[in-house]
Amino acid sequence: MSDIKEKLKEMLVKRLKLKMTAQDIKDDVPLFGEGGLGLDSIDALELVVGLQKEFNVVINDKSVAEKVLVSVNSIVGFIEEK
Amino acid sequence: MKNNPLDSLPHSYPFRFLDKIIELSDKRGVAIKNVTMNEEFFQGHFKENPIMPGVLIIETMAQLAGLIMNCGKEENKIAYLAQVKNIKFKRPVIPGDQLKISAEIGQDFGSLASFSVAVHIDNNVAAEGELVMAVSKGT
Repeated sequence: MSDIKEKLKEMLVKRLKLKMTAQDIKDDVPLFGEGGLGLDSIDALELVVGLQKEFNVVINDKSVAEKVLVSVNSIVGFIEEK
Repeated sequence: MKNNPLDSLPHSYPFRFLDKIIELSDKRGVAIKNVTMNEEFFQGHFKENPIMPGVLIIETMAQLAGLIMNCGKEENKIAYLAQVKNIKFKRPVIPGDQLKISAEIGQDFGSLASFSVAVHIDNNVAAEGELVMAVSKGT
């Protein structure tokens, strides 16, 4: 469980070139918008590619992406379901 | 020419960088651009040493990616270049070169999609990398 979380946070920092460390990302912080990590739609695309490559989960639908790409917790939940 | 896929390209003179479409679907495409000494940019880039600017090679690949994004869609929308990733230029493009441009869709969100793109000259890679294209919303 926490392994996935750590790996996911490190992937976020590395792939999206975030100016923070994996430890700085809170589990429930919103990925998009103000008050969150401030990701944009291009980051979302990169994130989907990363999830596919590193976690073997496929998101090929925008409505699924909107439900899953909310916070670290929601992504981990999606990975664990698969 | 009927149903020339190039007709749906929104770019016109002097900013059309595709001459011919070899293959086009909503997943991938191949196109040709013939580079001649008459290209305006060779006048200054560079006067004694004509080389096609790398940004225009990116534009060439982006125009093909935009066509792929619009392929099969009822309404033609302008596809904007949203991200340029890991583009490498492996050899200079000079007058007389025939560019074979190829693009293949990767992650596709409908209004936003990533593409693997490449330019070959005589079967050698001249440029390759990734582009992200976005189609305009509601217009």
